[in-house]
Amino acid sequence: MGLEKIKLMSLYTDFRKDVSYIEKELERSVQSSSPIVRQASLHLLKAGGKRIRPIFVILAAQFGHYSLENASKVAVSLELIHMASLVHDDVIDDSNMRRGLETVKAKWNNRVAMYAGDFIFSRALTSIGSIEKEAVHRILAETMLEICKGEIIQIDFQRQTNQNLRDYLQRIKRKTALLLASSCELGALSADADSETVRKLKRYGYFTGMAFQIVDDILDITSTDAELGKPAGSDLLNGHITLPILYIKENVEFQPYMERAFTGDMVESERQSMLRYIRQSGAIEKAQHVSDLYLAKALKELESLPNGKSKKALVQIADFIGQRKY
Amino acid sequence: MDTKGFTDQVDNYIQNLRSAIYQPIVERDAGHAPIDRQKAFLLLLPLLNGEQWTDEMHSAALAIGAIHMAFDIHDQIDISDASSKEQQLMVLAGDHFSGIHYKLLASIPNFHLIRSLSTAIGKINESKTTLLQAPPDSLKDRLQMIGEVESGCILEFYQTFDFTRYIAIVEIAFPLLWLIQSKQNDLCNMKFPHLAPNTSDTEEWIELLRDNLHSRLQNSFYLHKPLVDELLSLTEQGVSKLI
Repeated sequence: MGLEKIKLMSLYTDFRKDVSYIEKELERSVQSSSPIVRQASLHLLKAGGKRIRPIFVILAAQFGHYSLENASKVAVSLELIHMASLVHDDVIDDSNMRRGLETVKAKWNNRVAMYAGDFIFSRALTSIGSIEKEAVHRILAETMLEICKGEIIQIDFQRQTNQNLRDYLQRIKRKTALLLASSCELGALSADADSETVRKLKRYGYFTGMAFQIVDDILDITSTDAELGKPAGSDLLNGHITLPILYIKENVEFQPYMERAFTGDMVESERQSMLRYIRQSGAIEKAQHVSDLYLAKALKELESLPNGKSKKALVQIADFIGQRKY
Repeated sequence: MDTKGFTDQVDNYIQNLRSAIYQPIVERDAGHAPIDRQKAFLLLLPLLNGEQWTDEMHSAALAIGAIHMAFDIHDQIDISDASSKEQQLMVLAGDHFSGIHYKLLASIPNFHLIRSLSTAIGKINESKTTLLQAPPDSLKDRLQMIGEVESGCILEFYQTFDFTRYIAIVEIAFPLLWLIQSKQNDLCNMKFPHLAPNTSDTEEWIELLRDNLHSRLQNSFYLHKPLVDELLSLTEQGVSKLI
């Protein structure tokens, strides 16, 4: 288990039993009569991840009439939707490694990855299907479609340099923030929290999600290959312009790097040189500042919620997101 | 209802499905996703036979059409290289269609169908993986699995809306249609082309399944004659006036 995940887990020790229950439910939910599908799904589960979505569901549900059984159904569903999208993303990005492990597409092939992703998605709906609340399903369906729309737009924008801050923010909203917002919203809704509380938790999830993705995009540049489990700078090499790059894309010294990255002709020494340039350009600090602004907004949403272990954990998670190292 | 009536109903359904799944970037760069008319025809059998067809059934049928489109487009992802923009968009188009299927079911809302279809979708993907990576040895088992893959969601629809008497027809029709495509050597358009059997096995099984279907249709007193004729035409040649 990574150091960062251990740090994150220490923030919600009061809910550790619930998180382990969900972990077991996740494993149970991807059991399959097909050995390949089972192996592919468990392979993905074992790759870990921070489980931030399930944690948000549990913490948000504490603000209503908490039931672990209901929260677990929502949490498992959201994490499985996230996992299914990762399996398909690896096909799209032709990625062979994720979190230091071979991807499903690399271990088997693209088609197995497509079927495994679709299988996991079906299990996500099986999990949440027993919650008979129209709003829960409407919100989740809308969220899934928006996430997908974001990915489609990302492909459309791939290797296009004429992007601005608004385009970027729209993209990360769909890519990350909406699912975290929905994790909080659905967690609270499944526990019948009052509508004002649901709204505040949703906004907390949204702002935290924006900050989370900005930090993720920063770490893609500032972390080592070993920490990332993939080459640093992969976003740019895959044609995606992230916030730090937006700040320097007009610099004449940087443009040759961008062109080489986009054409796929970049050699290792150039990649290292490009990473050094970005790290020293001041773009990382500017991006970090934007992330901090989002985190401040997230914390503001929590102010009027009742104090307790859950609120404390949500505050600490926001702080963690701002400071995480990989 | 006659052949023209069937065609109009299927056209109308396909038009509604196209409008439900529309995604401008995907349409622009990856083109129209194909809609399987034969599958639509078999899904709509109760409607074409004059059964009462509610708005809820219409939405659920569109949801099933959307998930069929998701399956079909994901089946077209290249096994080793999906790095072109068109292939990338096809991956995402399939995910978008899946999302539309869920949105349609959530909008009814039919929680039972959300659960039963998700179970069916899971099984279908397990079977597709098996057919791709470790197919059963016997043609009989392969045909059964292909039938389950192709008809799984339609069967859930029939069961949910009490159209169970149509189940046996589609259970036979799908493997039969697959064999007919195989016989016609239509490898580009058929599912699981790597499993296409040799000619003598194909003929033998086509005969067997056709006899089975004919006797089933003869005993289906509730089916209107024009619909029986249409089904016979479809399963004789793999084509019909409708398709």
